[in-house]
Amino acid sequence: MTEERRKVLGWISGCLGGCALLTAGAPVLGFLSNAVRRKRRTRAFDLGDAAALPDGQFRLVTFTYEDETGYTRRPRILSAYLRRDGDRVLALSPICTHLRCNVAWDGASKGFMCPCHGGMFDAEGRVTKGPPVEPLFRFPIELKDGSMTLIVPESYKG
Amino acid sequence: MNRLLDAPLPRQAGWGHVLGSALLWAFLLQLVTGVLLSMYYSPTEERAYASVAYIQDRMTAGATIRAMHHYGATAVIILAALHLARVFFLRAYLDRRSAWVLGWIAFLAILGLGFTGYTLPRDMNAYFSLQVGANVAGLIPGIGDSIVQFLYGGPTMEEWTLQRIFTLHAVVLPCVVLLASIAHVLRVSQKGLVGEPSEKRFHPDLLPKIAAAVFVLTLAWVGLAASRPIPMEPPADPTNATYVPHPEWYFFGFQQLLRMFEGTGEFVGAILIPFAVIAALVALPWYDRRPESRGRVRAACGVALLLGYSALTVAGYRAYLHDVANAPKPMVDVAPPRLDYAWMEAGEPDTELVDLGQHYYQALNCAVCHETPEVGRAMNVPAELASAGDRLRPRWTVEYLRRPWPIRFEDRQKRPHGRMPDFRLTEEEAVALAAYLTTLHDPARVPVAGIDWKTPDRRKTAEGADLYRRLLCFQCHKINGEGEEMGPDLSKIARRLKPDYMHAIIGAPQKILPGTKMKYDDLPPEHVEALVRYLQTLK
Repeated sequence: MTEERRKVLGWISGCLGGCALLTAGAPVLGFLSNAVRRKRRTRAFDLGDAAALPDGQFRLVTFTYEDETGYTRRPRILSAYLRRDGDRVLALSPICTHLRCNVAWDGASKGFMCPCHGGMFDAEGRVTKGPPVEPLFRFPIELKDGSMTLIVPESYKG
Repeated sequence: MNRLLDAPLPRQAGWGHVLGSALLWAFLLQLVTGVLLSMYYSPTEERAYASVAYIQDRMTAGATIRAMHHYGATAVIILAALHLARVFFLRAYLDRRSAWVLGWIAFLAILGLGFTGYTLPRDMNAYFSLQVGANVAGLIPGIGDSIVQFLYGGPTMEEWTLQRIFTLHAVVLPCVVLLASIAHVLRVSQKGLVGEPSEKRFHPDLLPKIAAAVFVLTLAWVGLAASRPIPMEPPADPTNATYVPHPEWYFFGFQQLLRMFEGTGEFVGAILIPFAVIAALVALPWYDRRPESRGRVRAACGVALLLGYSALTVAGYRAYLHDVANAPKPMVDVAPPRLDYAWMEAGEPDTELVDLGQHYYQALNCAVCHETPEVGRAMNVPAELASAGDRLRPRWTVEYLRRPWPIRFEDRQKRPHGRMPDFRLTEEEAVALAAYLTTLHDPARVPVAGIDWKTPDRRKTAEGADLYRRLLCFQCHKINGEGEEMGPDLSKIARRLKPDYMHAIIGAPQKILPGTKMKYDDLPPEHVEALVRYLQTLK
């Protein structure tokens, strides 16, 4: 009888403890998961004087915007390598697709070099050497009424 | 207490058994210095750098405490690794499974403390190390991106990323280490040390050895921290594309693994290999059980592992040096101009040179640290440049840009204030930048004195030299080795500063340099002029 009693009460204690953990765990996991579910908005930046870029050369252009994250507002900087070939504009992200360091344009080798782990990309953003797999991200460019707009999609991590 | 002191020890008890206790002491000292640093450190984007700089530069013993915490990380990791290696090679983990696993939990948490620690000061290396370190988790297929986002607290580095990392570093990981080590020590003392029973007791057979080891360790540790503080790097510039970040020395081998595997093999190098090695070591007591078997194989594997990681560390460090020497400059395709010094005498540089200098200014992202009218102030540490044209002589600017540390800060170890990076500029590039800087004027800060400085006036210059002595300027300033060191050395001051700026400072020191200890707000204008004329002769 006492063995039976021990067993049943043991089960009940286990269930009560488990329920207590689940009850406390739900809001804890909810709070923690907020970080994973956060998203950024898609943004557009006017490339007004892109036509003034020298033909066939890269320029590092920076865009500043007011970012609202939770309780804060502060300026955030995005940058892109812009190159004009005739009336086509190529906008490459400077973020290395390996571990997100910034790549620099190296005029000597006509490519982008990542200072962190030796990744290299050619002038079109394709991987030529090192650990990265994906090419540099190309920002889509929209033509509206003759003026060009650079689109930073919400999935962009820069 | 007496039970602890009288605890019986095996015949083999000796200096090797000191490691665990020394490790505990080192960790407790890390807790103390860490608590001290956390009293002034601010884990926010805006103030993290300034708060660490404040601790480093202004706090009593601040640089020493920070350096102790830095060297302490190395001490803890070395002691933990030695302790672990000893247990591994002596096979002391047999029949001590839970102590072995608890020790590993503490060791991995200690490595986590090392990594999170050097991402906190928000200088260049901290920023890019965090970026790289967090994104290593992103290499895990499937859930990698979510882990990175969890570490950041959002899709990219957010306002509270530093706060989260600080919580990990100062709350979560220390708790893990503490709880695991307490359980570890309890478990070991329950079971007793491995070896043949003997007459030896904890005191006097081990305690004095521990005390001696702790004494030597602490002396070396504090001595090193006091004599060699850890310099800070420039504040983080998230857009910088040429800075080569470096991990702390114990992660160089890991970084080399990241480099060696290309493309999709990256997952193997960065995640699979380290995970497999650690899992194989942690599980050792479960598959290495037969009392006398495989001793040689195990020893050979252990030695191979140590040598292998050492080789990776050396290779990683050499690759880092190579990258530093070969990093491209961020000038983005613009050819350097012809060398032109003529404008420095004639007056204004031509617009082409100024435009090029401005381009360099933007490409190097000088505005991240220096205040300028267009961009506003980003960091409250370095000099403002909005009035650079009123203040600085272009020839000095060129020299300074090319060799920032030796010119202004003789000994970077003694006075780790020199945070201006060396951009490895060519002379042409430095001249173009200096040309741009000369065009920056701020009349509200440095008004035009309206005095013709070009025409020498011997009488006033002599009067200035006399005033310099009578006003006791030498009590704070030094000229050619004579005087005190409280204020700047004035020996060659005319090479650096223009007369109008000197005129503004001496006329109203508190207005130009708020908070300066320089007094004399009420000098008559003719005395100010005389002093400036005298100082302008110091070249």
